[in-house]
Amino acid sequence: MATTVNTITGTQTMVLNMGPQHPSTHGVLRVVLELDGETVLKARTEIGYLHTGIEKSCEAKTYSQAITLTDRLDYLAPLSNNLCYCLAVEKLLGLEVPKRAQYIRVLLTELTRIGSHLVWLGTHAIDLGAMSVFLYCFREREEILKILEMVSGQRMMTSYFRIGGLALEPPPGWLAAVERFVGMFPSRIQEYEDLLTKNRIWLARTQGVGKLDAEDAIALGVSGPTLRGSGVGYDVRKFFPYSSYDEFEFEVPTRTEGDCYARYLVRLAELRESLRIIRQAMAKIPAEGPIRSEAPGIVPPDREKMKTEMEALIYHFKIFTEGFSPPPGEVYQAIESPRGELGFYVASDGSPKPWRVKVRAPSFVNLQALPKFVEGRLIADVVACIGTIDIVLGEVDR
Amino acid sequence: MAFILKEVGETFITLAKGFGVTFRNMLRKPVTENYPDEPVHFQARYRGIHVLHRDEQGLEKCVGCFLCAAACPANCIYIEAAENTDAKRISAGERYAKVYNIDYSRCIFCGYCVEACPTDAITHGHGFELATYDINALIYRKEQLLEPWPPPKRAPLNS
Repeated sequence: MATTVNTITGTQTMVLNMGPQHPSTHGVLRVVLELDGETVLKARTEIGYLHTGIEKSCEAKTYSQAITLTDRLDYLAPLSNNLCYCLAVEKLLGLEVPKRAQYIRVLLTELTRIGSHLVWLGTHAIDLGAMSVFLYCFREREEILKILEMVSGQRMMTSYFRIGGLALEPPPGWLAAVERFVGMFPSRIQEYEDLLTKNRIWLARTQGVGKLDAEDAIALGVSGPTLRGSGVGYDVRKFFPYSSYDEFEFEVPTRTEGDCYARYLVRLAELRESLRIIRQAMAKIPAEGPIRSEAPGIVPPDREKMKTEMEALIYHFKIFTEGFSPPPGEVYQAIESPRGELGFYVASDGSPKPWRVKVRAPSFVNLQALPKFVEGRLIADVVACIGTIDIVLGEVDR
Repeated sequence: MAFILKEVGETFITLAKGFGVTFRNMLRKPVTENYPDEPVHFQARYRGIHVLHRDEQGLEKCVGCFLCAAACPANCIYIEAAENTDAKRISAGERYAKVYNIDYSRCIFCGYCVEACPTDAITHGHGFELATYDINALIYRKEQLLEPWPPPKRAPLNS
């Protein structure tokens, strides 16, 4: 803590470090606050405490090995990262993914979106003092994690998508598990709404807090629900459809108030929209069909083929020992992750390892809006404002 | 006055609604896993500690092709291969893995080795209790990973 005397007004200001161990900074974010009493005059975010060098590590892995690293960026929505990276490399290769794999990808990423929003709602609520919402949210998220474990084998570090399709055929009975979840979940959203939406404490803590108007939001490059809470209806799924999103019907919920409450309502509405997409995807997924595209030398052949055909076995060995070499070039692929526009920029020099992988992390960009949110407000609002951006430090620091 | 009354009324209604939710949840069944008193419930595909398999004759399925080690993104698999002889036959193929170590302090349980294995020799088991005070104990040797032979008469209680 440091005290400085303002020479003009004669008042004293204090510099206070919030974080990196503060529980409401959602990880290891440090916010340096300059305070006048309890009012925040200036806020500066210090990041980098969770720097893992994932972008650099990608350069030392083959294209398919790098998928495992992308799980660890935004660890609350691993499948969104998998999807974005795979789409980027597929774009580089000019690879077409079978429709069945595309629909399964859509279904699973929407499930991850719900899971991620549930963590956001739970932690945001517990930051502002609503304990039970946190427990209920995590209970429902558990169901999603079980489905992910059922399909991929891991709850969080799924690494389920592969370049050209999926890693494994989903197990029998997985759609029934999704069906159970989809049937149960709407009533649970209603429960969160009953607990929070009209609760006076919740209203007092979120309404009018962390105001961001549309112009500022666009200028700061903010995306995702943080942007849509300010009245800008930008959603990558609608504007630049990928993985057959153009075949799905869904709304992009927006609010014009631009405060924490608006962003809360936007995310709740997104939960319902995601359910809608999941229902459509369940109807669309064909019972049988390829889950990987036919691309010898790039996509591993089916196991059955690999064991019976010599050519397939040779490709299998080649892919797993050397990887594959996309043509030299660079691509940028963006998707709508739960936090906003997630982008992967992949540059290839024609070798089996990416020359450069750059991640446009939505949390990192959205975090820029924090000083705008909190300056001139109280310390207690800082907690609400950090929560409302929905940052994941693994993604911010990369 | 009317305004205040309305506000008080609304507050009470929302409070009652909220408490209704908590009350409803009190009557629901708990979802907690009682680990370690009860075993954890895994899905069939759960990726835990690896298992090295044997074929019907009890020979090791691993033929020492190094494909798992090449596919591993974490470089945690170390293999030394040796030739099978007629006198001493370990696997059905030409070669076998004389040394097969997995370093669990590096393994990320991604399943790439399982995907790469051309003979289905390595799969993920459901073991997960890896915690130890000695980091060297995390390097598992082939003997620790191999399926026991002859197979035990009945499954051990904790698996």
